[in-house]
Amino acid sequence: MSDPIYITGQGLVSAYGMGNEAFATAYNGRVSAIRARTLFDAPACREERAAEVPDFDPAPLLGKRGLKSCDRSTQLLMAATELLLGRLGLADREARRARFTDEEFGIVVGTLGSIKSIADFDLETIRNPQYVTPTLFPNTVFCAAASYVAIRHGIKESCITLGNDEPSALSAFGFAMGRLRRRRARHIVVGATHELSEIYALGVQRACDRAGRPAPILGEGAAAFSVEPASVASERGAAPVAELLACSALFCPEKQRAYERNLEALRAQAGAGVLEGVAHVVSAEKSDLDDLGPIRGGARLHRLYPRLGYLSAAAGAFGVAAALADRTVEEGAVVLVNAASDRGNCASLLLRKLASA
Amino acid sequence: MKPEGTKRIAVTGVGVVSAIGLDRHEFWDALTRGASGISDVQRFATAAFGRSRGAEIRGFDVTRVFPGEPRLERLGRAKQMMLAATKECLGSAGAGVVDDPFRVGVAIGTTMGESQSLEAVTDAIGAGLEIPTDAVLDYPPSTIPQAVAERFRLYGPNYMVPNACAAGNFSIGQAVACIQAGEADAMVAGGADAFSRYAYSGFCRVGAIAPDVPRPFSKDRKGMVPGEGAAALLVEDWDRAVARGATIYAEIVGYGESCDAHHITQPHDAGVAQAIRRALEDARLEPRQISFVSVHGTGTPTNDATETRALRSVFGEHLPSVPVSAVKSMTGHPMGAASAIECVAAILSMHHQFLPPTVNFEEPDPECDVDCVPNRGRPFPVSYVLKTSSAFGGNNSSIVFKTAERRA
Repeated sequence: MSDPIYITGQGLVSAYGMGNEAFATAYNGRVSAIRARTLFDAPACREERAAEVPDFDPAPLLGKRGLKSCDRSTQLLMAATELLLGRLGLADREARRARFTDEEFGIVVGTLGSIKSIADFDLETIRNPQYVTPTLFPNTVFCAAASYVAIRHGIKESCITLGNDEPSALSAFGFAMGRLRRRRARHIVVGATHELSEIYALGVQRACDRAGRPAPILGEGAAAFSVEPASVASERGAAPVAELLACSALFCPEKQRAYERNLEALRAQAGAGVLEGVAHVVSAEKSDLDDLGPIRGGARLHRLYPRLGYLSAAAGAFGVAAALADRTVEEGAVVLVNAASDRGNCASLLLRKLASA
Repeated sequence: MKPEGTKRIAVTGVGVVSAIGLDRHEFWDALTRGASGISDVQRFATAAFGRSRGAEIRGFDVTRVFPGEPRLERLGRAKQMMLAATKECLGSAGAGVVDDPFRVGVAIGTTMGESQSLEAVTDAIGAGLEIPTDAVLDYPPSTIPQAVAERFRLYGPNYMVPNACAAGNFSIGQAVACIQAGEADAMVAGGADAFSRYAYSGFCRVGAIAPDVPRPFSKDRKGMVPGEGAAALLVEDWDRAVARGATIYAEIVGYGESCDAHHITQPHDAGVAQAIRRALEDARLEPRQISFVSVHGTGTPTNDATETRALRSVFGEHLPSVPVSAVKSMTGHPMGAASAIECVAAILSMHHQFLPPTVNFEEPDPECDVDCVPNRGRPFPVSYVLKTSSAFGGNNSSIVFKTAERRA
């Protein structure tokens, strides 16, 4: 009999603030985190609202050492992971080694990196090539955030970054599920991070202008989840908050067809009747629930966008976080979390909520 | 170790665009001759960097590869190269690869993605101009596997695995996992990177670029030379490949990953060795069964010494009898495309039973006491090849290929 894969904890840094409690309280209070933008002043970005992580200062949580050379997306992920591992009693490496060797502990992160870091570094290259700051160079690679977290926490099983637009985080869950089922790892931190910046916002504005539609309200944040087989969780007395049932991620220019194929794949993985039991559908995006029309049945819909803005590669992670935090999603409920990009990537994750996180 | 009954994995197609050849035939011919793809950088002025050499690809024109598709000219260079490599790969794979588009996926790695598009954006910002929309839309790394999927109608699992300079190996590992999990029957897997100004600048500042050429494992080595390129492998369920009568270029019998968790830019031998051990364990092989190692071999003092220590810790007394070749001595360092390009080289070396050389080798280094096939390639019986790769962040990935009976 197969060993179920559980989520046993989460750590969130969101536009609601630092921590799971801030998220759960505001989310259940149906609060919108969207406010006037403060991170940068860019008249060319006509949408002046954003869902920013308020007053983000990771130093009290992480200490100041080494933080200066990490960009915002890395700091967000480091903070989320610290919160996660702290709650689980696994932040201290020695304490963790009583449960897992470093070689059994992996990380997979969904992110598109920091366009700000890359652009800043390249601008410096244009202006003062002899004086670019070497310690900022690693931020130009997309796997920087995951790698810095792995170094901080001694995560040695593997360190993977996936960058598939909005479905990135859900792809990361699917990746972790496969890896744990193949017994390559005993515990995986699944994370996602997305930062707000002026150049990112300008890029989105230009793309939306080209497409003739208004720019979305942009959000940001990072999430980290503890994912492990039931047998491992049980050994260390960890209480599961969700069972991961199935995941599918693919590319298809026709979004509805993509969702249909994803659902077929979920059915094949989780059993024929499981989709009929879906009670809740969560989407972090603006529009993709419309494409789910014919297949969503009587499930209740949850949209994150009106509260947390457009979260890009972190979208799916906050979809999972919302399902776990939402008190109207009852324990035992089967939840479908979706994320899709306009360019054709599409992912669906099926989970059973076991407890509120 | 993979469980009994795990699906066997075949490589049934290969394609490559590199600084030493624009397809697999040119590439292999250049490898056997020990040709160099390194010359003075043309894409941007290098005077301020104190270094001037690069491995830029000359003569690549996407419209020649795809006549009648002028829209591809507007895509970023990484995508153009990846599309060309994929076309060759699928062309070499024979008929019947894509019967159900949802059963064939794409997994591609990169280090910098469409860096030249991002550079167009920063050029505009630096000049006080409006940022170019085309460049903005072209930039995200996800657009590389998307472009491949769209052009070739491959609607299965789709992954961008941007694990820096080991990304090609990581993407092949992910492709194997997708097939073994039953999510796809075949995957186009590989890597792509375009020649990047900010990568050049960054590597200069960390002192990693050689003044002339890379000299992997040579005592006087002074660094690597940045490059560009793309490579694609068609990774396929073995039984399906046999059923459709495909030419099987190689079998992927082992795969392993690790993370050093040590330093963001400095590799660590324990992590490199761990990925190798995992790949060998997955393949159920002893180190002495490996015929040949296609190494990461950048030519930086630190990398080559670290990699040698890792190999020594795994191979022990057998190491001197295992040839070790650094393809980057010829191709330069094509970043996220590197390990995929080197996988193509490894597969071709099995196909031709010939080892590509490590060129520019001058003087043995006691810290790098390996048989690096110095300067001249040689015929050699190759059964199993180990392909190692390492990256920023301490991300390591190793693959073991087995020579397959040719079924053409």
